[in-house]
Amino acid sequence: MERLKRIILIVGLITEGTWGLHLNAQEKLQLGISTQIHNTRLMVDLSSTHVKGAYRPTNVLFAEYSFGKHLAIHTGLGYTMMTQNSDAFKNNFHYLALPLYLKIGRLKDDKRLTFKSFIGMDMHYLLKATHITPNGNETDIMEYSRKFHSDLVGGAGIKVRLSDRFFMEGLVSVSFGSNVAIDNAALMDINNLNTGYRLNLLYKF
Amino acid sequence: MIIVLFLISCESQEPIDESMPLEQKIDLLVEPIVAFGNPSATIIGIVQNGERSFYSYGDAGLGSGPPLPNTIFEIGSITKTYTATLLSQFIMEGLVSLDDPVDKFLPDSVDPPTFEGQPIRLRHLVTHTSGLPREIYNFDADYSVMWSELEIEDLYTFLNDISRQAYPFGDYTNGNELQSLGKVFNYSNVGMAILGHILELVSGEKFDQLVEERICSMLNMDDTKIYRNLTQEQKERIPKAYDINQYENDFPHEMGAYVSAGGLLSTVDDMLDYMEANMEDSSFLSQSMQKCQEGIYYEEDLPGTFPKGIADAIGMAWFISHENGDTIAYHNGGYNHLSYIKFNRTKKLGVVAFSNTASEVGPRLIETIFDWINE
Repeated sequence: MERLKRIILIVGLITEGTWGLHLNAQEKLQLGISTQIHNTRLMVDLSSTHVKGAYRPTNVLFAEYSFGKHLAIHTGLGYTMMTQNSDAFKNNFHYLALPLYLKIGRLKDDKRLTFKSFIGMDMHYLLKATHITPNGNETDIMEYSRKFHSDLVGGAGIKVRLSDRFFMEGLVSVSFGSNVAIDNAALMDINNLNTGYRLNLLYKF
Repeated sequence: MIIVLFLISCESQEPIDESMPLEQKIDLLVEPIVAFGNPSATIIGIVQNGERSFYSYGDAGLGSGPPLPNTIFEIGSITKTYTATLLSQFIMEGLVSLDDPVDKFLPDSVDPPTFEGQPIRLRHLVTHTSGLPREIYNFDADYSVMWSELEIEDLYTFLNDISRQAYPFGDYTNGNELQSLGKVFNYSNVGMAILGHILELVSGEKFDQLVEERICSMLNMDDTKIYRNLTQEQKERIPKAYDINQYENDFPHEMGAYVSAGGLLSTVDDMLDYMEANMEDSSFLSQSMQKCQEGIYYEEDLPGTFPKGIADAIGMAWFISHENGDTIAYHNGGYNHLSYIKFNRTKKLGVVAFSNTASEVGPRLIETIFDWINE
């Protein structure tokens, strides 16, 4: 219950300035669903450079509010997963995902194809973390993992107008985050590098 | 956003209080690391106040969970301390001297390089001051060359190539002479391999026989052998190994002509026996071990090249520190597995550790644990 309260508080704080106040703003608000697969690599102290990646999903319900001719705020709520994938073991991290992006590109949807780019942060709240050995033994590693984790993220792609109200975006993204693990006595950091492909379906109010 | 960033920055592990019991401190130190697989399995053995304790974490992949005191790991370069112990015994028996030149023992067909007319001597080989390169080949450039395939003839060819300036992997000669001798520290696996081979030539026995007869059998170390001498049951006690990126490492456990530089496998149980023998002085074996822990070259003798921070002297293979009148000896090793041994001979305490993952983190952990028990 305490965790739920904290989530609601954070979501409220972050989003009240965007979709909360502008739900009725004609032509400026778009709601959508985003699905992404991203190749996650979790690296120890940045010294492990070829860690085996694994494709994992992200699904987010989002809202975009535009201002000016080229800028929009994009935020939402969803689920994402990251994996530390190795021959020795596998660590799975399940997060509540909260993106907060500044989207840059032509906002006027008078063309069938427009270029879009974005930069921002993916904020994560840890729901579950497990360590799985090759023979299938699973242990909870929540106590060693950060409850809150954020990535810097950027990407670009195209937006396709499907109809007057519906649009589709195809974007590639790169994100980097540090400190998946909590600060520990051995001063070991776990960092993540993700490359992703995302598909957004948008409805324009 | 500010609140989230604040929350992120606040998350940290329960701090380790120096007053905590050792077991609790080690758990707090190692468990978070093993959870993220670097290393993914590790075992630590400690001798303190005449008692042994074991701390084991992760999954060794052998069906029994964490590594056990009898789980067999490569000890890698810690093998060099066995080679040095054999050398020390040979010296005590009058068979060789540290000042003997290597060409006294090698076949006539071998022409070892010199420096200003001075030959490489056994003291140079056992202290990594011979001026020879780290490896017989440039392994960074040629991973296809496996140590397991190295033969004694390769060592001979290598020495002749250095002398003839035909060594293809770097300039180690000045004219047809070495660049240095006894003045520069350059950790050399090939130097220790040549030393081990010389001991074989002197004794007429193979290195593994010498180790078995002169060290392991004396200490009842039944699980300390080269790979091919292990029984099938012992081989099944070897965990898989992983590189720094946590891919499986499957280099052969055999070391070929490098056997005396890194070819032994052992257990924490056996290595604690070995460490305790190194801290005693009651037997011929222990006395030969203690001779290895006397500094031969000090940091100031090898300016700019002696590795900083780990010791102040190099003895026969051991890195030696002198702190508050105590003598502390250290060596580590790593090929498929990682190994570590450090002990305070004066206080008769120490730590041995093995892990299955190449990691910069592992040695850091063990240094911390040693500092805790050595306080």
